Parts: sequence; structure tokens; C-alpha cells
Amino acid sequence: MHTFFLGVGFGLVTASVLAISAVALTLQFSVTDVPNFSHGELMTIGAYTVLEAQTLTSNLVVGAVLAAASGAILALILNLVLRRFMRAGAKRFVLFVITIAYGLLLQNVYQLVWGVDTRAYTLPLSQVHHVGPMILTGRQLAIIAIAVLAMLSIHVMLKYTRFGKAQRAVADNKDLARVRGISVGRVVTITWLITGSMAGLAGFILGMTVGAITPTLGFNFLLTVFAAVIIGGLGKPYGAMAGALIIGLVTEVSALYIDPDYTTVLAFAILLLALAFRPQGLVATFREVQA
Amino acid sequence: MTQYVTSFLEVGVVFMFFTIALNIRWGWAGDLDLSVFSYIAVGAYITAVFVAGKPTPPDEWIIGLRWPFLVALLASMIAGGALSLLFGMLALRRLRGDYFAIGSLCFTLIVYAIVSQFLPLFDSFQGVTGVPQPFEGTLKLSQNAYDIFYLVFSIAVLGVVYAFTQHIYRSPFGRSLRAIRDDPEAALAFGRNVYVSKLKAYVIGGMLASLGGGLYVGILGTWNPFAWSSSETFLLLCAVLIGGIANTKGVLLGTFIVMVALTEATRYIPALPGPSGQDDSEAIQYIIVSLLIMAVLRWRPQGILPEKRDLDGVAQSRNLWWRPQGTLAENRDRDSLAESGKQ
Amino acid sequence: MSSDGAAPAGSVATARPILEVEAVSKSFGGLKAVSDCSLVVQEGSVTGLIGPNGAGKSTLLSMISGFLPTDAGRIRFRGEEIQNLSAHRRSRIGLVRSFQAARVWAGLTVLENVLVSVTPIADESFFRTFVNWRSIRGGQKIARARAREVLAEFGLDHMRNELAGTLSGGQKRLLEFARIASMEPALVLLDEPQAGVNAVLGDRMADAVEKMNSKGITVLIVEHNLPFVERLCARVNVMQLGTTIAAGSMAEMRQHPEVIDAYLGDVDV
Repeated sequence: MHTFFLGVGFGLVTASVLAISAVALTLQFSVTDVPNFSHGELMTIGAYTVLEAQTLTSNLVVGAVLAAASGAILALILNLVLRRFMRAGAKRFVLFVITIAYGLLLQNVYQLVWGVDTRAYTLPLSQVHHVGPMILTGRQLAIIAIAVLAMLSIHVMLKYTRFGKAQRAVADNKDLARVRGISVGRVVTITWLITGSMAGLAGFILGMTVGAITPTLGFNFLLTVFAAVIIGGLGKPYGAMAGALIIGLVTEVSALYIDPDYTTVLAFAILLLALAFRPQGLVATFREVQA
Repeated sequence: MTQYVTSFLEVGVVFMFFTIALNIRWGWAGDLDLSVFSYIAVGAYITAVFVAGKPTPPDEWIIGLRWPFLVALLASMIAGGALSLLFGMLALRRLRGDYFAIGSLCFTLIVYAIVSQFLPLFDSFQGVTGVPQPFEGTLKLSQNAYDIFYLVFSIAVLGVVYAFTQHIYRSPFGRSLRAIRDDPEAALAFGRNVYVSKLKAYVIGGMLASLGGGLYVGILGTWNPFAWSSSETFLLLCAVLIGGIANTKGVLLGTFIVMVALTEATRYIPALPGPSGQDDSEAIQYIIVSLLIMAVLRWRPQGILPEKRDLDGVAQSRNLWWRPQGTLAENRDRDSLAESGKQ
Repeated sequence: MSSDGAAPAGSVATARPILEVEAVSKSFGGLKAVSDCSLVVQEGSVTGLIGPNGAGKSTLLSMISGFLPTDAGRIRFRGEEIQNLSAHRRSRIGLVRSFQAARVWAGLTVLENVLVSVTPIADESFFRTFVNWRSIRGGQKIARARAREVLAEFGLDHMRNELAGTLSGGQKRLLEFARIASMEPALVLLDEPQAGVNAVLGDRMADAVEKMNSKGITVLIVEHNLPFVERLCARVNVMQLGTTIAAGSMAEMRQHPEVIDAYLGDVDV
């Protein structure tokens, strides 16, 4: 029983990283309709940025901000590239392949700049705390707190801000939104900005939880993020949060009972089954349930 | 010098099997498949374990029969076909386009994880080693002569595969695949069973990829998870796009271009003062590949050799087994005469 | 009114129903798009299905053709229940549909497009492609000749080697028609064939429908363009809010109070 809660604890940490990343991906998908295959690379830059930042300051908050900024920059560049292609008449599938190429490009640029060797942050030791039946370090608690904060911010943004309403309108029906006077292009750009920032932040945190930073850090995590997004339903932010929780808990708790090398297989198998049998997502959002 | 050329050509020929397989699945049936390398690997592994003997402990792998190479190749094709059937039945019913691509990537990672973790299967990370040279017992040739023999042999097999795929393309079956690719719902409305046709194409693609994998392990003599870099899938993608998606000749041309361009391009780039010198050429290759993909998609998405139009429904190249129906030029002239007659 | 006052085509219908829709329903989330809807189409007729936007006409058509599953109700084609039959099978038994936006196979030539509809599906068997190529090749020669005949009927033969994707909207519609006609189906469902079509093309299409019908093909047309419907359809069903509210000739519908209320009220017919 005790080990079970240890697993739950780890699961919450993984779910935290996943949640930030998955919500970012699903928000972006909801307005562009293109799954971003380079989402992992937007995360990886966050980790590398913090590595570089650590040569200047040991302040992790500054690092986090820089990580978010670097993710945002790369995301905005991708937005520009995709815009170009859309204006030239590219179909959605072509845009998808462009994101694949962009990811490939970034990954190898990281390799050129930082090399294949594993790097890690230099971090002070973290205090261990007992939270009920779970044992978590202070850092892990901070990660969970950051994730909760991020989720709340997204919730507030979507529900109460003017941008949030515009974003939801565009996600619902682009043409209708345009007719109502919403600048779709601007909403898309700002969404990419948010997505990139969150991805960069998630990458920074991922670097902390995984401990080993390599050029493929984000890419290795990509399918897990897709799993959370698809389980929650593509384009549904609250679904992504639920999906992240599910995947995070399942992978970590199952690692206690089956060979840990197979936990990713489990996550992928869940993803594959979800895609094959219920691509609209396992989690029904409140709106659907009410109807 | 000749050794370098033969081995370069050999790898090129083998890669052509892979791009033809991807072309059938993507260019003809219409779904981008990122799991091609799983089928290549399966083909390589199965051929390897059929041809090699029983492993000496602590190595472990299945089978190990010391059977002839050709039988092993056949077994590879069957294994590739079976795996294709498995995934195809799961994914082709509901998934299309990007979702299929994601699902296929998922599948390949699952297969990769199982193969690299489950020791008794293919000796996980050590892989299968000591694969004897194909036709070892029957031919006694010098190393140089053998290399040329194997090259000619591979080209011959490629030739058969090429004729096979072209025949499919010209047939009503091939045409129905392309209709399904262009608009699956319309195809349904005209009585085509989209799922079954796509499944057929998927299995054929899998078998061809596995055949190529088997030929590949014949040169390499060994196969392990490190040979599977999923990034190499993007080389195939690039080759298909550059050469001309859906056009088999184009795809072969694209393969050649990608191979030559990459090997030659990196030869002339000076060693950069990077943190880890040895891997830089590979990274540069992939950067070039990614830029190429974007450039081709922007300025020439149909590739160098676009898909050939089947003018008047007449097969443009002969069916190899029956007498030709007249050349394209003759048919064209006949038609233009008829047209001018009408005016 | 049709130009010479003659009865509209399709008035030589038999008394036998080729299509019977019984109390069919379909909901999307909380929205009931089609609710307890029934209608009958007589064999050999040209029947219309009209109604205001959002009445559920296209949804019903998709259910009849098998592109959407029914939530409830039955659909009978030539007496047999088909609501559980997959779309491609319905096509094979003679129930063919068109789409609102003309859908052609863009990467195939115009001729190849018709070749697909004219080629018997048995000729696409992978096995026979290698084992019995001779008979397939013979069949293809015949198919080619037939395809060119059909294209000539629709005035598209001179474009036969053009990629279908390069055709204009109107030409694509004609091509779609040509494909459908070449299949010689039993029942054709046309989904707003006049949407975005000019008068000349519209006339051509009406002619094509009449010609199809004269060969014994039953046609069910979902349409907003009332003169088009009136010229072709002896009988018309009216839908509103997911169900049929009336059926009869166009003249009768113009007098029907509910129909006027729902739809024809401010339309100058």
C-alpha cells in the first residue's frame, strides 16, 4: 500500500509536466487544426535555455521565464512558416509534414549546438517532505504547484478574459468567429505564443524530473503528450488536463508492478487503442455530459 | 574504389525497396506511414535468425535454423505481411491522415520497445550477430566478385518488384487505390470498400519493406536496435517527396538523389568546432533533409517526376507478360487524327 | 411551371416503392437533427425533398446512403432493410448518392474518374490482377469505350485527359453526374445538385436527370432551387425541423398551410 502512494506521488509529478505540455498542445490544435509534431522541440529548448541561464544565474525563476520565452520564440517562428504555406494554398496535411520537418530541423540544431552528451542542471539538494502517505521532495511539490497554477491561469484565461472567449470562438468555428469580427490571425498568433511559453516551461520542468537533458528530450516525451491530448479529446483543454492525470498516474503506478521499461509501451498502447476506438477522447467534458 | 561504389550502390538499391514500400502506402493509398522502419527491421531480424545458427549464450534469439537465404527472405515477407495486417486492422478502419501518422509512430515505438527490451526475442540491444553471408555454401567467390554478384542479385529482385508494382499501378486495383487516396468518401459512394483496399496496399508495402530489410541484413551481417533510428524514416519521406510522390520512377530517383546529395554534401563540409565532433555530420545531414522537405513542399510538392497521367486509360508502359497494345505515341496520334477529323 | 405545361418527368412512376424510410431519427449531442421522419419514393419517379435550412434533409440523405448511422427507425430499399448495411455495399446494390460539393478524384484524369465507376469491382481483385490479367484487360477495353460514350453524352469527352482537379466547379458537377449515370444505378440521391450552379448548367443538369429517369433510374433530389424541383419532380416531400410535414405535387404544396408557413411563405413561386 505504501509503495502504491509513492507511485501516486510520482504520478502527480509526471502528470504536472504532462498537463502543462498537453494543454499547450491541445490549445494550439484547437485553433490551427494541425497537430504540431515539433511540440517536443519547443519543450527541449526550454531545458537548454535554463542550462545556459545557469551559467549566468542560479535563480530558477529567471530560468523559468527564459525557458518560456525561448519556447514562445520558436513557436512564433513556426506560426510564421505555417502562415506562409497556408497563403500558398497548402492543405492541412502538408502543414503537418512541415511541423515534422521543423521538429527534425530543431532537434539537429540542438545537437549541433549542445552536442549529444547528456547534460543536467546544477541544483541544490531538495528537502524531502511527507505529504499524507506520499513522499515528495520540495522541488517535486513546487512542480505540482506550478502545474496547478498554470491550469488555473488557463482556466481563468479561457473563461473570463476577452481573449479566452475569442479563442474559444475560433476553436469552435473559425468562419463564424471571423464573421463576428474576431481577428482569427491574431488569436492564432497569441495562442502560439501561449503554447510556446507553456511548452518551454514544461521542458524546463521535464529536465528537472528526468534529470538527463539531451537533444531528444522533448521528442521522447512527445507521444506521451499526444496520448494525454488524444485521451482527453483533441482541442479540449480540460480534457487534456484529465488525460495528463490519467497517463501520469497509470505510467508511474504501473511501473511499480510491471517492468519499468514497459511503462512507455503501456502509455503508447493506451494511445493507440484510444485512437483506434475512441478518437474523440475518453473523457467527456461537462458540456457534452449536460446535453 | 570499386568496393566503395558497389557498396554505395548496394545500399542505394536496398533503400529503393524501402521507398517503394512507403510510396505504395503513402503515394497510392494516401496515408503517411511513419512505421516503415519497423517492417524493415522485422524483415532484417527474421532473415537474420533464419539464416544464422542457434545463438551462443548469453546471447538469445528465436529460431536459428541455418536455412537458405531465399527461404529466409520469404519468411521475412510473410512476417512483414502479418505485422502489417495486425496494425492495419487496428488502425485503417478509423484513422486517416495525421492521426494515422501519429498512430503509426506509436506502433513503431511499441515494437521498438518490445524488441529492445525483450531479450529472448532478438537479443534486445545486442541484436543478432554473425549472420553468414547469403549463398555462402553454394558460391565460392572472391570478396570483390561476391559483392558484385550480390549487387546484381539485389538489382534483379528490385527489377521484379518494380515490374510488380507498376503492374498494380496500371491495373483497375491501382486506380481504385488512387481514387481512395483522393477522396475516400466518394470512393465509398461508388461501392469501393476503402478499408479492405487500404489494408491490401498496406500489407503489400509491409512485405516489400521486409524484403528490403532482409536484403539489407545480408550485406550488414548483423542487426540491432541501433540500426533502427526512426530518424531514417525522414530520409525516406524526403526521397519520396523530392522524387515525385506516387510515381515509382520518381521515388527511385528521389532515393538516389537523397543518398548522393547527403553523402557528398557532408563530405565537403569542414569539421565544425562543436562539442561532439563525431556526430555532427549526421546532424547536418538531417538539417539539410528537413530544409529540403520544406522547400520541396513549398515549391514543388509533386516532386521532380510528377505522377504520370494515364492518357486515355491506355497503359503507358507495357505489361511485361503480354504483347503491347501499341506505343503511347501511336495512340496519341490516332486520337489527334480523330479529333482533327471531328473539327 | 415547366415550359410547355406538360407534366413533369417522373410522372410515369410505378406503384411500387423503391425506398421506404420509416420513423428514422438522428441526434448529434443534444441536437435532434432528424426526428421520427418517414417518406416513400416510388420506383421510376423523380421525387423531391425540400424544406428550409436546418430541416435535416442532408442528414436524412446521408443516413439513406449509409454515410451516417441511424439512431432509430428503418430504411427499406426494394423491400429489404438496409439501415445496417455499410455505405459501399448500398452503392453496390444500386443506391448511389452525389455530394453537396461535387467530389471528383482530383489526381485522376476525367476519363479515369469515369473508368472507376464503369469498372466492375470484381476487376479490381488483387488476385485476378496477377492471375487472370487477360480478362481484366479485355474488360478494360470495353470499359474505356463505355466511359468515352458517357463523357460524350455529358460534353466532357474533349477534356478526358485533363486532371479532374483542374476542372471548373460546373464541370466537376457534370463529371460527378456522368460517373453516377455510368453506373446505371436503381436509385440516385442528389444532394443539392443546383447549389452554386448557373442557369445554363442547371438546364443541362435537369436534362441529364430526365435522361437518367427515362432509362428507368429513380431519382430523389434534395434541393432549394424550387423551379428545378418543379420541372423535374412529380412528387415532393417537405421537411421541417427534422421531420416530414407534407407530401404531394408542387401545386398541392403551394396550397398546403403548414408548408407555406414553414417555407414557401415569402418565396415568389
